[in-house]
Amino acid sequence: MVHRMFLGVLAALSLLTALALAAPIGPKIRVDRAWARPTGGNPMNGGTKTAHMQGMSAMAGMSGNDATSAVYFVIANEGSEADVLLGATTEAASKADMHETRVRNEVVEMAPVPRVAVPAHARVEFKPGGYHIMLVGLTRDLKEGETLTLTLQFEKSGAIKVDVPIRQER
Amino acid sequence: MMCGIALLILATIIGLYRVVAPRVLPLPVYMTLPEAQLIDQDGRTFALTQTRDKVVVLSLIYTHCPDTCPLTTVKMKQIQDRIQTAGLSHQVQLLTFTVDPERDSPEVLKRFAGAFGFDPSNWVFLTGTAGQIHILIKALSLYVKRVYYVNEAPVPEARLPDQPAGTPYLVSHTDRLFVIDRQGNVRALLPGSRTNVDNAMELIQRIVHA
Repeated sequence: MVHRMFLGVLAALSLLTALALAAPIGPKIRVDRAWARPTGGNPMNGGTKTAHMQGMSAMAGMSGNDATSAVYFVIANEGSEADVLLGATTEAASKADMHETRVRNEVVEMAPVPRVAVPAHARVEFKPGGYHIMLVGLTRDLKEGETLTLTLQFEKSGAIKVDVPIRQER
Repeated sequence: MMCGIALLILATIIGLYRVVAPRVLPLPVYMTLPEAQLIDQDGRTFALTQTRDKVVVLSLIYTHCPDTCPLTTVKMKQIQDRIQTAGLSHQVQLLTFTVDPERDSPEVLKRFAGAFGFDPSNWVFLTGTAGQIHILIKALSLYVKRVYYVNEAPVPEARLPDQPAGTPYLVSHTDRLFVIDRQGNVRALLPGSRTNVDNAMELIQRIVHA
């Protein structure tokens, strides 16, 4: 009798553990399809730096490159709880700002975005003409075929590192 | 007799077609490309009037633009490829001019253009003096304003006049492509980075064959 009760409790515990593993509580963030624009077409790469450009970099507190780039990706939240993207950092730039391109009365402008909500069981796309991470103060040329490392900071999931291939838009 | 009946049927069909077929309205003239002396990506003088015998597709960019201008340039490249496929390369000239001549020298533009695989045989990237670029901006009724970032917040140049040279900025600007006929008249306006290339090609072909 005691043996049967013990087996029953064990089976119930196993079932509960399996259920907990199958349906994680909280957000479950995955970052896919990341890419960044190369800076082959940007001003500072491979060219001689003029005094004017040196001045620009110095004033911006940049590390020697006033070119810009943008990073795009898709965030998938497969968990049962929402999360929030709070910001990004990268070794490839002194600043990685979250921006959104907005078109108002046919005028395109960029707006800084402090937080991007990622609801439970939802996907949020960072894509050209929408949300993107703007890289300013590049620490190196972003050459097609190479990668950069982007760290995304989430409110609940913490820091998530992403390897970002550098390529032209397709 | 039979011949008469056949003619009657033909006349009826033509009459019905004229009633039923949608009328193709002529394209409006929005504005005219001004006379401006610019400089191409190789440092050569380029007068806008030298495109008068060709249909022109015109876009605007600045090379520090991280998101929209690359997207617009990708659209222009797709249009260039489609024009080539259609055998119209000798009839259509693509022009891209910078709204940020202070930072976009010919060399900078050449590097930017090269990154998008432009074919210089019928696509020219243009810069110029601030005065000449302003003539173009005004004639095309474009909105172009610098935006400085102070403590992460965007501040329009109107609220921060007389910034020292070299202060970094982005540029808010009209998102538009222009299709211009052989007389220099703007006949179609397309939504820049959001342009549907099929629609663009339809309009370009129509203006080429007008």
